[in-house]
Amino acid sequence: MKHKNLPRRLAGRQVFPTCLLTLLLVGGCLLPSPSLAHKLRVFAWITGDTVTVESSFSGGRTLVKGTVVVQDASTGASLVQGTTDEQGNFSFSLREAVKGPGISLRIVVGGGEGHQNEWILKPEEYQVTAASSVPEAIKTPQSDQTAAPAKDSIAPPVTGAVATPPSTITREELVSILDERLEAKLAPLRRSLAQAAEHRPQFTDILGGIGYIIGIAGILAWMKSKK
Amino acid sequence: MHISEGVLSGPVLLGSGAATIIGTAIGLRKVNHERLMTVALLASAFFVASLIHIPLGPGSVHLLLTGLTGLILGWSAFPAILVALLLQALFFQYGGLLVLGTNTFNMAAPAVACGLILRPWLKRTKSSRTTATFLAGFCSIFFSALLTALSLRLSDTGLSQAAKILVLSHLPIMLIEGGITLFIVEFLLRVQPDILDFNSPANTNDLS
Repeated sequence: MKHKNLPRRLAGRQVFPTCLLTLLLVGGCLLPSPSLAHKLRVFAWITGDTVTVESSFSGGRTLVKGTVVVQDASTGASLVQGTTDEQGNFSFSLREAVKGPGISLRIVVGGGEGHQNEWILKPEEYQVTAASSVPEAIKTPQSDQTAAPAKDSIAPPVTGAVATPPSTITREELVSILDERLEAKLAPLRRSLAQAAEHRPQFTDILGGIGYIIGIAGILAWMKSKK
Repeated sequence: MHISEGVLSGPVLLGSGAATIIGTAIGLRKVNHERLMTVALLASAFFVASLIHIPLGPGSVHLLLTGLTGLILGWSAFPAILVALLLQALFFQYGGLLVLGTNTFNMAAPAVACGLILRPWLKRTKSSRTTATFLAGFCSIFFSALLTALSLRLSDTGLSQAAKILVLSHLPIMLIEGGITLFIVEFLLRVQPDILDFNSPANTNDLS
């Protein structure tokens, strides 16, 4: 504002950068855009015996052909490997993955550009659903103990002779169906919970960061002035 | 271009970490009283720029402003970018603490190189200045993408295909960044020429 000839100089100078900028922005829109997100989101849920892993970038784009490695969280041994499909999903059978009882599963998903994140599946999360779909041969000794008292307490009419027509499904089947249905209903809820728990940069965070940087500069200035 | 924790191999982490320490040490020695707030200002600009996503095409992009940082700060781009990335890692889990050295090196080394090489050109004719500022923005992103790809390749993560795509996919960002750098430098020269003052001893010192 100090210079008197500023408006004239401005007019000549500003046209070129502005034109270039507009051109670049328009050109940039036409070119294929990269997935410049910072963070890979990983989410896994269980339906019956199947574990589905969903992954997307924090910008909302799905991760296509990302590598998925399912590990035993305590030993790090690789249990299942694969890649995500076009929707960014990957599923595996819980029965095939988990041989031993009650191990935590670490699901590591890696994407291009060096992105990687993981989701921990704890035994208490999957044991309920897994137990109901485990083959009968393994299950029979346990199920007699666990199912019998529950049967009495929850559904007393069943013990009566009237209530059990021969065609009714067994308790195990019922539990399995209920689990499956419940999990299917809960999965979106759990997904949105997981998304809500994710910390996105807020305006206050940005201001806080600037404050930190100014503060660090202040400390440095103070240290330099002491010398 | 933030590389996540646990992707890179040990030697890559150590090598780039050592390079970052050296760069930061040189950068901190170049910072004097007058330049300190400029360094903080550009660290803030870098910190904020990569948080604000602008929807573009199917995805979103954000600025990095490393070219601008390198042009104005020279070697001091290292501490500025290190602090900004550290805060991003702590606040938002972008990148991570172990890969901080690699991420800083990948961003700051091209910035410093572009700044030192292209800065003498700013003093010459207007067209050479325009070219130099555009190239500073363009090349810093290009070499940052290249270094990120190289870090992934050297670690042999099986992401070599992704590494190739990485450089190509950043092409729009390079163009935008070049344009924005040009725009900002032209603006700064008009309103605050001191920030790019080439005659002061502090700045000629930077170029050495």
